[in-house]
Amino acid sequence: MGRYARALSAVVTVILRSLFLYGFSKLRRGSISLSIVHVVLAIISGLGSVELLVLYTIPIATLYTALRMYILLIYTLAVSSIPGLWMALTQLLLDVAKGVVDPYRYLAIYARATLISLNIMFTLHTLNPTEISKLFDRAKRFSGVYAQLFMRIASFLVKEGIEIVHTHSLKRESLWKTLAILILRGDEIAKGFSEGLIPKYRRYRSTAIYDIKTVLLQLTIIIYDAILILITTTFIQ
Amino acid sequence: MKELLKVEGLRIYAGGRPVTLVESLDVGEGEVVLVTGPSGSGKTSFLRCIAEVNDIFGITCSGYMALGIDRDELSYIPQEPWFGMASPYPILEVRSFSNADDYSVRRYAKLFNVEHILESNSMDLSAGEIQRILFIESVLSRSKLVLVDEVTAYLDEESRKQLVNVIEEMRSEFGVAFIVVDHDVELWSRHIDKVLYLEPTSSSRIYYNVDETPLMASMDRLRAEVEELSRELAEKVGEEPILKLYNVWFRYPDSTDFVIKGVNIDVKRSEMMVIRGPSGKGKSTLLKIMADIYRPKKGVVLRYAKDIQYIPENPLLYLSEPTPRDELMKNTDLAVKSNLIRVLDTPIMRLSSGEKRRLAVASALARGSDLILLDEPSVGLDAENFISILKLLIEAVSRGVSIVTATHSRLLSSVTRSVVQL
Repeated sequence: MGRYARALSAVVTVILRSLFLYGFSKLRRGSISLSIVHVVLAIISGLGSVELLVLYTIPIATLYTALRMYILLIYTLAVSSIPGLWMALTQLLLDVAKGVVDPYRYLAIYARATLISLNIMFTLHTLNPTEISKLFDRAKRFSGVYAQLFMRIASFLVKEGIEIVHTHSLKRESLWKTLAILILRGDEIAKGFSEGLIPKYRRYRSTAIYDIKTVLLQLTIIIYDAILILITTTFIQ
Repeated sequence: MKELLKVEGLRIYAGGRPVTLVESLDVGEGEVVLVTGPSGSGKTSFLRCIAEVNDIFGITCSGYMALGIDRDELSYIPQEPWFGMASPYPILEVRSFSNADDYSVRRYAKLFNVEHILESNSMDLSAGEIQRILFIESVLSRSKLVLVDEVTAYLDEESRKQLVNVIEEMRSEFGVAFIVVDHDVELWSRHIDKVLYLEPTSSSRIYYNVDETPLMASMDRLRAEVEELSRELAEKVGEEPILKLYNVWFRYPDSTDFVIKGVNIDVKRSEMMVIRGPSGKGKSTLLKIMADIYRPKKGVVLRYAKDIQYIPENPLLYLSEPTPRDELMKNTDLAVKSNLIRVLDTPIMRLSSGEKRRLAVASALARGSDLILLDEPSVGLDAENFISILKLLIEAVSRGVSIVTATHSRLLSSVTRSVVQL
């Protein structure tokens, strides 16, 4: 296989696995709103300090571990590192041009961006499709199906994309031709999913499915966040 | 008996071109109708007209068609079953579209042997597994009429028999009617009420016995041809190794279980090897390991081939040019041998499933490949297309090319003595 294809496929695979590695896991049966509360608290309170961001991230890492999703944590760290590295390297280049280099600063930029990304990725991992569908359905009947369909098509497209890249790489096709086929395939996929969905969409009923243990764990994280805020504000005062 | 569907003088057109004429068809409660006929005879188009999804594909139908049930009581499982699944996880799909409780879903999942994949990611399921999930959804949504395109194409032997038994049970206990499109007419011989035989551009015929259909006559011819080709193939196997797998183990990153366990394979030049096994047992995964798309967790893969080509289950993913002429790099000799000469300038998106498959194999040959890995090459092919593909593969083998295919097809497996059972 070509080097470029292997590199492209590796990047896409990491993104795919970081988002869709596990099935309808316990993590997906929590509540997205509780995760959003945690991420907002972490960003607002921890943005100014790397040490605080680490403290806000510890319970997330613990949750992945408790649910035996170590591999997901590794893929998430890999993807979360991308914006961190980008920002740190950009700052380094600017500082080199200015003639002032501070290694601690780049490390802090990298850590801050990575930790925030990791917290945001956590929100994506706890995105409960049944909860989103229920919310959509309340806004407009049958619209809940689109939330599920979006997740289905996103993972389907990425997986097919990887398969096309591999197959074409063995054919030694240029990358632009592969991209053209991906676009053509996109049209076929749209028709295909319409064919599958149109005859049955009227039967769609949204059902919210939660796992009580996951929701309790999410609530515990929020309580931990609140205690952390209380301690830090008291300490600062 | 309540009439669920009545069709009379239904003319089907694709892009303004006549496809077929369904003279007359009545489907009553609890009836099973097999729709069959050669490729391009409009079987899929007919189902699409009943399901009212024909417009999406530029298909028009004129004539009389009346549905005696509510639209919600009709289920449709498309030819490419993965498009029938709108949810990211099978459990959500069944629960959302059938309104069934968790207990019922699990009970039927056990019956169809898919209990273990209910919480999996839909993108990781094989076509056969998706088909079974959609079947459960139809059962639980209390559909009165179920339309299934290529009903057994992606199923292994065991699942085919199971499916026929479940259909038998559903029609006798709940009065559910089925219209199934299938090339495997023999499988249905004792389980159907009538056969709707479609012919390209001419009128349909109804048979009440599968043995009377023209397809049964062609099955005997097919078997004789396969036997002949099989003898031809046996004489060609060389001694030179082309690919060796030693004690290969593989598991997906989200799984603790190995899907490939200690596989040893030795592929020789000019050999045609078939990998068989039930759905989800790792046939496609093994092909991807051979192609160096996946790396084994344990074991060694030695590749002696100069050029390896992998053709996925969906041949469209292999093709990269706008027309067959470009795809075959203007090699008209191969176009003739692969029976594609009439469609050389047809856009690849408009080719039939059989044509796409033949084109993908011919394209791999045009690239001078000496090892072709083919995933399910016989899905949805009628006898004629099947023989066409087989002849093309044997032509490749006679040129010194080795072929490894993953398939459910009994017929394809019977061609060669090199069969790996997973």
